[in-house]
Amino acid sequence: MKASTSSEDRWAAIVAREARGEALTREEDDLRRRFEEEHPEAADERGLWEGLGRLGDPRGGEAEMSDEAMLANVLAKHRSAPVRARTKPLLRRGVAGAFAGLSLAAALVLAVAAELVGPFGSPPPEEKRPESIEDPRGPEKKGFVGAPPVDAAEDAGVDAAVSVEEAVREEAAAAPDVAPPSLRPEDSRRGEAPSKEGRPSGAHAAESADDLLKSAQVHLGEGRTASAIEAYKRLLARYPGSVEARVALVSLGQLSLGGGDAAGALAYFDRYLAGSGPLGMEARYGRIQALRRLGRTGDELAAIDDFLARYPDSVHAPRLRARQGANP
Amino acid sequence: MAVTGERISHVEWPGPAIRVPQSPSTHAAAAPPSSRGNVIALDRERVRLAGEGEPKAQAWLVTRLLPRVRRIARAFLKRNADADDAAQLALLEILRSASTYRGEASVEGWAKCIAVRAVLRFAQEERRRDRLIDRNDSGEEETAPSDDRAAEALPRELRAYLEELPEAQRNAVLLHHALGHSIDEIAEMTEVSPDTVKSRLRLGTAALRKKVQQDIAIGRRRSR
Repeated sequence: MKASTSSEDRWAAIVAREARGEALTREEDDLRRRFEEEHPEAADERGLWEGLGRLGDPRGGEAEMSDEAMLANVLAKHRSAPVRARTKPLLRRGVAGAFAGLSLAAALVLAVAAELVGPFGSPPPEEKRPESIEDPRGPEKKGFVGAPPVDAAEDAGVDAAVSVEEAVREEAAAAPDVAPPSLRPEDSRRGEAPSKEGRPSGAHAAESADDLLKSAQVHLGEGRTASAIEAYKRLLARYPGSVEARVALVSLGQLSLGGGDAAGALAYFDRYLAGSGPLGMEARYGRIQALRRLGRTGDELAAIDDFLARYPDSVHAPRLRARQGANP
Repeated sequence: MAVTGERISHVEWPGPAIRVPQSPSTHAAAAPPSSRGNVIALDRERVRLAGEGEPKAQAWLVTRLLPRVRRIARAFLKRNADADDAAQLALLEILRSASTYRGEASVEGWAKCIAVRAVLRFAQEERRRDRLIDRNDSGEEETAPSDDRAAEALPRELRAYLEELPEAQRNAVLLHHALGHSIDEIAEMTEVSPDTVKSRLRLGTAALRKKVQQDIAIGRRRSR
């Protein structure tokens, strides 16, 4: 049977849409299936539309710049020359350009990371060590004084429902001896020394929480995953209540996941989510991946429900909805 | 923000407190916390801060838009270095335009037009440069791997088919099928009428189909 152009175009658009990771309606799914049954020759073309739908997908591996390096690079370029129009590409080819770009990106990633975590860096009044530095299931400090309460912190993001000001007020109330982040401009300076929580007592005062975090990130940037994990764990052990340690929990979760230790990853993500902080989405998404790898489908679907309720517009949402659809 | 150097997918607002100005749109919905008007008003303030040079607001804006902008760049550019460059140029363009955001659309809706135009300009320049120096993809440049099993079933590389289309048709096909933009959105981005977009899309789609069918008919196989 000769397909009409309009039904063929509709089918092509649906195939491309599915390949982009978007959820199909039941009607679209039926239309696609019916068309393919009536026009088996369409199978020859399927790769064309699927391939088009996937052209924008990440290319994986080290073939392309990491998101973090790109973020740092763009911000640095903009800040160094915010007005002047640029016509030359930023990171051109060539050995010299590649080396210069890599080192610049690595340095800036660290600086931007410090700046991003800085404002929530008000420390808890007391430091508490976990019982074991190796065990991700170790005791978690629930209070995370200095970060907004769970709801406020979550809502202060893209889907903000509560004014960020409210979060800051609540934060100030939770830590009355510490000024709100917006009133502490010195904290926003790049490379600022960590707060008193970020300083260990005793002989190891030279290596601050900030130093350890930077060290871990440098190791990661240079592909030394084991050294990065070791630095993150040292950070967790020595400054368990610091903002840097909170970041380390999510990083360790992601690294554990990448290393095939789904149970360990789950424990790290759960520890992070027992408190609050700005990486809630990353931790929740990592938790879903860990549950999936552990084969805990029921828990995974519940976690997906929770994720979609909190971040309905996330870039992960279409794939998670598709996953839900595949496990009704 | 994702912290392991892989993918940034989302960022919470890390900057100072924002008081959302009471605009008619925020009053209109009796300011329910999750109303779209409130979110846009809050975003407008954040983008305004980014336009004024507030570092955390700039970081928030770039982080929020980065995945979408990279997707646009990857769709249009085969070589990884080109896609990276184009994405960065587009993000810089967005930062430079931040002060012009009026909150009439979502941040993403506003930014995607800027990003698409920047990437199209970049791709056009690269194409011109390639023609001048006769650059060959089999050289040292890293290109996107074609590991997609469905696309592998095509007689030739998908990009090879796209290359054979006139530029305007190719852009329309990529914007519609690779990025999911509607006819009206493409018309706005490429500054032509919706009818022109429909025509380019129809011609481009038909040409792609014809080329694939011809290759299948003559038993052409891609070189490995």
